[in-house]
Amino acid sequence: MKDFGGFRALKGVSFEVEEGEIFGLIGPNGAGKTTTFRILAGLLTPTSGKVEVLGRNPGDFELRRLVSYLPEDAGTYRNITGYEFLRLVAELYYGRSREAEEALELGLRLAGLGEKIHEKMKTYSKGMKRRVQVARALMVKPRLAILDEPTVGLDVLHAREVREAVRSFSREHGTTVLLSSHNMLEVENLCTRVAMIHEGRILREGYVRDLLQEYGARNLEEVFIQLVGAGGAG
Amino acid sequence: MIRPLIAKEVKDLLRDPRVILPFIIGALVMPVVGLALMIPMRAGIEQAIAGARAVGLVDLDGSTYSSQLAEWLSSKGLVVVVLEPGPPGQLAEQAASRGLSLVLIVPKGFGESLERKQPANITVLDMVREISFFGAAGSELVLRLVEEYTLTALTRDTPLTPEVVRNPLRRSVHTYLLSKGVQLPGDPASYIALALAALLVPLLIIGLALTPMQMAATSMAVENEERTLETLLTLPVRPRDILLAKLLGMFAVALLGSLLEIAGLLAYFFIIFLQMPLAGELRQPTEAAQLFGAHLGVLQGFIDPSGVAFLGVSILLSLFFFAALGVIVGALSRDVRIASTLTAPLGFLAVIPSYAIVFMSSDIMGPALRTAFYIIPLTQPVIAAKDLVSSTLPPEAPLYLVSSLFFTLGLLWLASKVFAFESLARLQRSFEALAEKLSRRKPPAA
Repeated sequence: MKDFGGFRALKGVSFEVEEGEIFGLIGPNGAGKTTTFRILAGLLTPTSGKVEVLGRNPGDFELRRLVSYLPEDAGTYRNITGYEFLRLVAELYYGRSREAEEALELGLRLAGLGEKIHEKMKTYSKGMKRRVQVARALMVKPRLAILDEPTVGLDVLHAREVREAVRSFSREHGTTVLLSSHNMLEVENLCTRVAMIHEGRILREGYVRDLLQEYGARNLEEVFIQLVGAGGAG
Repeated sequence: MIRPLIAKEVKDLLRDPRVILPFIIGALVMPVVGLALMIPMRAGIEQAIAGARAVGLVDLDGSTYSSQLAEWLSSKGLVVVVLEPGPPGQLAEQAASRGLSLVLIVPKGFGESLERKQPANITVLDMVREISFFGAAGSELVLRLVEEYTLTALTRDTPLTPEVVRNPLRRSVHTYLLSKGVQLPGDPASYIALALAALLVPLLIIGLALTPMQMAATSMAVENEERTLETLLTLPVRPRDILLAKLLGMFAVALLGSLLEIAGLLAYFFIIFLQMPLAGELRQPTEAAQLFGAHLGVLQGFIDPSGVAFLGVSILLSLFFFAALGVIVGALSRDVRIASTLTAPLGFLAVIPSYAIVFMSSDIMGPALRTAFYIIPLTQPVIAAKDLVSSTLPPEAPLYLVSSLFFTLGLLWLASKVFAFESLARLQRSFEALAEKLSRRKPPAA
């Protein structure tokens, strides 16, 4: 559970994510996705309950090298180039080393901005900034990547590119991915398992295929509507 | 680990025209202001002095003395034009038609008074188009010559000389400063300007510190506003390193900016004081030195050069402290608007203890308070400036520099203890409420 003063943002959230899987947390605005992710990233502490990430407390400093967090509305530095930003992150993780250079190279590939990567980020579109941020989160090869709405602000083509990048990255590096999205179709395509959250509670958790079958639905959106309509939120 | 963060700070700030432009404009504007002041000043003085090269004389006395006065003025290089007596309006017309700006009216009884060795009357009519700073400069010059003539006339046929009448007593007053064990020429009142110099130190600090403090607060608040801090707090970097990198990077840029501003200020003073061609005619060098309370040679022995070096380092550390304060205020501000609302009043509040020091005598202060003032970076340069002038710096002064630095770093360390996303968010809400209260108190713009 998580309280902010008198407001209870999370009332009952419990789920497990297997190593190496892509897990989706889906729900509408204000459902508690971002609060859940911030707790997992060590930014917030739960009011009650127990949270473990890779067997450790989320606030553990050493965990920061193993977990990457991409906030939904992560901003960028206006007067720094995308290249300089990625280099900064690489050096914060690995210092000035060969590993840092490799991470930077991977980041540049993931961002896929070509020569634009050497321009100040204030000149970037929202989509370009998001791609730099996704690249930043994945380039350090985390064991767990927490991606809050990774495709927000991207057009259809770029959103697809990012989804593909996340999928292939997870497969290639064995990275566990925990992501959230408003777009339930996106989650359906990308994730093996999902949890549906509404008004601070997890309504249902399971494999996408099983949920669709169980509810006789064509997509996760229908599953969610059935769950909310059935009073699952209460 | 902190190096890439500092580099990021420096790049982000140096490439931001909103940060650099005020420094460049400040540096360029000061010489322009100097020129803008100097040109009308110079013209005003030139006009006033040129106008007084010729003087109108209305001789109502008709005595030998009044005639001698006219000859005396002519012998001193003035053109004396005799005017017909009349009311001021008529005199002004006569003067204007002959290009005169000054008229001397010698009343009846002028010669008789001088004959009796008594003060004589004279009326001076200055013709000015408007009241200005330098309007009296010309008449001062003429009046000095008139005074010289009257003194000569009064001392004629007496054992006295004009010089004796002008300075009847050759005083030799000295001041012995117990705290420094030095003897100084002149009375203690002559040195009040030096004591008041300590008053300038808080103003100097606040003048220099507001920019880095504002910059630091803005830079940190932008991290909150743009949501970059949330990301930064999840990277493998300690909160204290984030704060320190922000402070060091920002301070490096602020120093560069301050150097530009100081260059502009020096150019301003250079233009005003050194390039003013007629300044020497108004004030002799000795008079200028007296303005500062003592001869410059005496000052050199009076102020300890190592103390001045201490003061310089102390001011620098004070700026560092203000910058740290800015970083903390920025971290606690949800956006730039809140940071701006809070930094200016905070800066001025910080000056209050400094003024308490300036006016507090050493006896009242006591050793504990004195030590505290030396340790706190905010008050250290002020008490140091005061001691530098009025007494001596304590022997442990270098230790105080170290303690001042540690005070700032300690403050930053304390701030890093609450520099976590959750506690920052909570504090930011309180700060926002405070900023709103402060904003509401401001009168609405006209």
